[in-house]
Amino acid sequence: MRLWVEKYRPQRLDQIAGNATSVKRLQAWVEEFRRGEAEKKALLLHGPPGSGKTSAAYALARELGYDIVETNASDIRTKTNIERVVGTASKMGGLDPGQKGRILLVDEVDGIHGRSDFGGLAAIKNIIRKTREPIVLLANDPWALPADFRGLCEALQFKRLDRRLVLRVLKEISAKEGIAADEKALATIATNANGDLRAAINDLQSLGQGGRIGVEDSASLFMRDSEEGIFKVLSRIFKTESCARAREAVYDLDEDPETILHWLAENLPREYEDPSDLARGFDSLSRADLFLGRIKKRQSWRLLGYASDLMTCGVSLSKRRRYHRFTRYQYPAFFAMLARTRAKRDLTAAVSAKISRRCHVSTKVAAQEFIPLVRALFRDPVRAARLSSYFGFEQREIELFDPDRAKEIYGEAQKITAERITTRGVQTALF
Amino acid sequence: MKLKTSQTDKLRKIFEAIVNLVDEVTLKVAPEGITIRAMDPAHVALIDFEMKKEAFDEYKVEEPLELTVDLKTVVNVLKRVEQDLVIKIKEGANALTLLSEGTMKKRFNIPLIEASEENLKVPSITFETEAELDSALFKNAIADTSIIGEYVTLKVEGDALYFTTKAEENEVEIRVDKDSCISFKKKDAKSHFSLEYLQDMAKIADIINKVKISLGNDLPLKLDFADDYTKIVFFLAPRVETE
Repeated sequence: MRLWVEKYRPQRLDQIAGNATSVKRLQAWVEEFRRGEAEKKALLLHGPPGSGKTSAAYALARELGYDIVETNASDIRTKTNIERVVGTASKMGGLDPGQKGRILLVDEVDGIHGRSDFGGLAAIKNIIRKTREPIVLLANDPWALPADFRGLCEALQFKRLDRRLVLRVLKEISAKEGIAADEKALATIATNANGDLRAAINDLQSLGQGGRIGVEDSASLFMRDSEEGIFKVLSRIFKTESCARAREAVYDLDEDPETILHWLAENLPREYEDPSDLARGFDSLSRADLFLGRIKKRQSWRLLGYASDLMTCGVSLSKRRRYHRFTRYQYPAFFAMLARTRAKRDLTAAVSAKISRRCHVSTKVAAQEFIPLVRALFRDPVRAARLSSYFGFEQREIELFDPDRAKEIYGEAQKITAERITTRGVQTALF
Repeated sequence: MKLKTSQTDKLRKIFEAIVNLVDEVTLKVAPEGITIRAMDPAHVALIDFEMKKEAFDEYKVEEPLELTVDLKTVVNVLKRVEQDLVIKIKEGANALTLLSEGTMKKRFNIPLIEASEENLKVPSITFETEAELDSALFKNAIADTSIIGEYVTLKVEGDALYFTTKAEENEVEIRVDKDSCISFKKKDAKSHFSLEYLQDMAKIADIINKVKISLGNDLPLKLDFADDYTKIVFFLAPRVETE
């Protein structure tokens, strides 16, 4: 299945949504470069994801009849690799004399760092100084780049797209795909995308599989912004084949390892189609989980390295094939389940605490061994009332054992308690 | 699918010639034969390879297949097998199986990877300068020029083909006269090329003994290696003079 993001990628510059001034400047700069008049030999397009940086570069190349030589964030970008691709292309002519020139595109330059990309930025700097072909660099955050590097480039900002603009594109695509889409639903998708057109189109595609999109479909989207970090990390880990890259993916993420583990577990089956890849992936995750368990139980934090390597490298190296297509990651069902069962879990905890006090056992033993016992004893209403009085259960706590007769039992228990207080110290037989 | 060959060396040389160009290749296996078309990530070199079914001892292909594999793995495996080789698809496992039966029975499984869609077109260029010669001469000239330079100038001037290179005070010039060529279509032409790429391409000289060199002025170079059932064509972008 073809991605709509690719299918509807603008063919001409005037089809690019938004950022008109920057798009115009991009074109003017390439023309200046050709005439040898460009002051800087590289252009740095910076802006949030989905604001049209890549699309603008591709549309320009198409209009000018240029070829694009590209290095992606998923490639390893050491000095050697950068030189092999960008360096070589900057020195040589094209293969096809029909092409009038080339644009050398480096995606996510702000992501070139760390040991796995050693010397990558320095290599790009050298190439910029000597290049014969225009170099276009893409970055989300230009301030992550060293100042002397930025000094070699002309910076061009791409702004987050306006919600109405995103909505317009969504409407156009739905019309072309023949999807009966509810206007409100499209508006929700546009709002959730938070200016990221690529994300919006991907959402549209996944929601529109059935040929129609109703309001209830778009409700399943949650705010993308807050989850953006984890989404990026997931796709890094799932898509890369480099151990170092997978490991680095979680460095900047402010989440505890257990949360990441749940996200990985939830989305692994959505990504790895091959059952044997999936089996190996889950094997790694379960081993990581063992380590996390040890850490929690014995506070052996030194084991964290093993847990996180198994989660990241382990998962990414367990695939034998690559999965190029776009996957819509989901919020872990486990967390949703926790939220749903919170009230009940709180109740169980309160009941366990009361049992624990009376029976001189830990709350854990109370929850695991005593609650089932108490539930069995509750079958006899007289006994249930006596027990409730003994433990001092509230009505809603009694509901945990016997939701139907809770009210009567509670009433009886109150009487017993009152009686016990008046008879002072004379213990009512429990059973 | 089942392919059987007694010329593993030949296959290995072909893969070795492109292993530095691309990380992975898609083998198109059709009832008529196998083909590979690939371009390096810098878009300066392209290979178009075809091996007809007659080149194999046994060739059983029911339906066309596209098999994408990691090139380094294939080259490493081909170094470890005997001359007689059987290539199969491992059912259900998404892997290519290579079997070689000498004194030891060897079996290698190479996982198939997902192809990134790409439809490469071979550049259409009309060349007015062509020289066909013994491929050993070509390989020899590339080796000679490689001792000092990174780039070589290929030039046809008058009745001869020249390979020249200069680096600091060193200079190498190799001349191949028209009479030493198998065929010669002359028009003066001159372009510069990266020797790093040419050295790899020249490896094909070990298995195919003729090469046709097509040249132009600041145009890509085209190398045709062909025998009865095998055809290997390389295109290499020129280095443009920086003045």
